[in-house]
Amino acid sequence: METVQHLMMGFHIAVTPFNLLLCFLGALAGTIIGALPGIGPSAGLAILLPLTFGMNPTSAMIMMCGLYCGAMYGGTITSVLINVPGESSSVMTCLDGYQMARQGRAGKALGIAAIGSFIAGTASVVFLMLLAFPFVKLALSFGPPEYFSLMLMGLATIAGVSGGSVLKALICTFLGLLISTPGMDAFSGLPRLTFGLPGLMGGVSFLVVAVGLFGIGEVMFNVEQIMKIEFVTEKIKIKEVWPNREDWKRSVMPITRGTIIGFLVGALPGAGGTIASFMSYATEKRMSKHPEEFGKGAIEGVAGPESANNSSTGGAMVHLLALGIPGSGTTAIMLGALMMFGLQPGPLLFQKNPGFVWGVIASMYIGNVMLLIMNIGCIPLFVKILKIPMSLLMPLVIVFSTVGVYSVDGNIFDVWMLYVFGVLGYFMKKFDMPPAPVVLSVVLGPMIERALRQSLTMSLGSYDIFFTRPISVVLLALGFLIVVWPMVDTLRKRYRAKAAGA
Amino acid sequence: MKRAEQVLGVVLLLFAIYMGYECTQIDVGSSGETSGMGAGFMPFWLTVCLGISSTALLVRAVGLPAARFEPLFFSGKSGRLRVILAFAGYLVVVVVTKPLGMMISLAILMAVTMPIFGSRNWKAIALASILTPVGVYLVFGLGLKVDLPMGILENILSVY
Repeated sequence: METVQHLMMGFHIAVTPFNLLLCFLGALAGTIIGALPGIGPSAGLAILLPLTFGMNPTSAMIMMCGLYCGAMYGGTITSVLINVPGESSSVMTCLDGYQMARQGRAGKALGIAAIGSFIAGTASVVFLMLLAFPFVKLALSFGPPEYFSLMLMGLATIAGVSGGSVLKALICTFLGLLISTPGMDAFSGLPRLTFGLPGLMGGVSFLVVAVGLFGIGEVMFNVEQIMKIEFVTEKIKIKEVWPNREDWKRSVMPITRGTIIGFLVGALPGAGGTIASFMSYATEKRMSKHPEEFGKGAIEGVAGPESANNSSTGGAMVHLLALGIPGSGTTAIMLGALMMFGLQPGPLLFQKNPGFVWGVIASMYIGNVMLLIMNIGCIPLFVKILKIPMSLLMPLVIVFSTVGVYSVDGNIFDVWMLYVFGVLGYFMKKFDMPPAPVVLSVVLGPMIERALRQSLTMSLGSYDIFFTRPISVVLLALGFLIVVWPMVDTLRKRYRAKAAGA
Repeated sequence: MKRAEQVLGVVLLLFAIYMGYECTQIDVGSSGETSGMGAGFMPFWLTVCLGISSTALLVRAVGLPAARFEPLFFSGKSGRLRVILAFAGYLVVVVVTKPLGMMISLAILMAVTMPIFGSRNWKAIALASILTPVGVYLVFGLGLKVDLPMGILENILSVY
C-alpha cells in the first residue's frame, strides 16, 4: 500500500508537461542514439548530459532514464535492417532479426522486439519497486567496511564479466581508480598528483573521461573504417509490424523468460544488457522445440534477447538507486550526474528525496509507453534518420562533445583533457580494452577511498575490520571469485585440451 | 599486434613506475594520525597493482605465439592516414580555440573532419561548417548562457 502511495506521488511529479516533454525527448534521443551504429548509450548519455545542467535533478534524471531505456529499444532497428547492432546489447538480435528481414519479415521482427521490450521494461520497473525497499533496508545496516567491500565487488564484477581479457579489464579498473586520485585530498586537504597543473586541482571530471572514452574514442575508431549503411529493406508499413497469432504463441514464453533473466542479470553489479541478451538467446535455443531454426529467422531469437536487454535496465536501477553503486558504464554516468546535481544515491536517497526517486520510477513507466508507441508508429521515421551520412554525424558528435565538456566549467583545460581521453579511448578500443571499468572506477574511486579510510579510522588502522564483519567478508569473497574464476576456467580448458591432444 | 601489445605492456609499466615514484613524494602514510593512510596511500598501491598487471600483460605478449594476435594494428594505409589526419585536426582545433575563439575553431573542425569521414560535397561541408557554430552559439551561448570563448569575434558576438 505504501508503495502504491509513493508511486502515485511519483506520477504526480512525472506527469507535468515539462517532465513529460523531457521524458519524450530523452526516449526519442535514446532511440536514435541506440539505432545509430558507432554511438553507444554511454556516449549518448555523456554527450547530452551538459544539456541537463540548468534543470532540477528530477527532470534531468527523467530525461536520462528515457534516454537509457530508449537506447535499448533503438539498437534493434539497425540489428534487423542492416545487420549491425546499434549498441552492444542488440548483438544477438542480428542473428535472427536480420534473417527475418531478408525473408520479408522485418516489420514482424521490429514489432515483436518493441512489444517484448515494452512488456519486459514495464515488468522490470515493477520488480524495481518491489525489490528496492528490501535493498534499502539491507543497505541501511551497511557501514563503511561493507560499502568498501560492495564497491570492490562491483568493480571486480565489471572486470570479471565484461567479456574479453580479464587482465585487460583489471588494468582498466586500476587506471580508472588512478585517474580518480589527482586533486585535493579530501582528508588532509593537500594537493596530490597535480603535476603543477592548476586544472588538476579539482580532480579529473568523470564527464571528461566518459565523453572522451565513449564519444571521441568511438568516433576515432570509426574514422579508421568508415561504415557504409545498406538497408535490407527500407519500406516498412505499420500494419506489418503487429505480430500474428502464431508469432504471439511462439514469443510469449521467450518474452517472459527474457524478462526474468534480464532483470536478474541487470541487478548484478557489472553485468548488463549484453550479457542478459546472450543468456536469453542461449536459453531460448536450448529450450526450443526447433533449435535448428535459430540463426535462420526464428522469432524467439528476437523476442527473448530484446526483452532481456530492456528488463536489465530495471535491474541496473535497483543497485544504482538503492545502494548508490552503478553496474555499468551507462549507470556510472548517471551516478556521476546525480552527484554533480548534489544528490547522493544510496539508501538515504529514498528517505531524503522520495519525490526524486518515485518521480523517476513513474517516468520509467511513462517512458516505456512512449517508446512502444514510438517504436511501432515511427519506424519509417527512424529509418530516414539512419540515412544521415556518417560524414556529418561523426563531426557533430565531436562538436557536441567539445562544447558540452567546455560548458560544464568553462575551462579549456577540460577540452585538452577530453582529447587526451579521446586518444586513450581510441587505443583502448584497438587493444580490446573495455572503457566501462575505467568510467566506473573514476566515479567510484573517491567513494572507495573514503570508505576505506573511514573503515581504517574505525579500526585504528587494522585491516581485520573487512574480514570480521560477515557481510563485508562475503562480498569480498564473491568479488575475488568473480575475478579469479574466468582465469581458472581458461587454465582448466587449456589443460583439458592438452590432455585430449596427448 | 603482438609487437603492439608488447609496447602497450612496456608503456603501462613505465607509467606505473613513474606514477609510483610521484606517489612516494607525497605522504604514502604510516603514521598513527592517518590510521596508516596518507594522501599518497591509495594512488601508491594502485600503481603497484597496475605495475603487476602490466608486467603480466607484457609477459603474456612476449610468451604467446604471434598467431594468437590480430596480424596488423591498422586495418589499412588509408585508415591509418585518416586517423593521423583526424588527430592532427583535433590538435589544431584545441590550439586555436583560445586565440581564434570557439566558433571559428568549430567551423575548422567541421571543415577538416567531414572530408576525413568521406564527404566530398564541398557545398555541404561549407554549409555544415557555417551552420554548426551558429547552432552552437544559439543553443549554448544564447540559450544556456555558456561563456564561450569568442576570440577574435569577441566584439561581434558577445554572449552577454
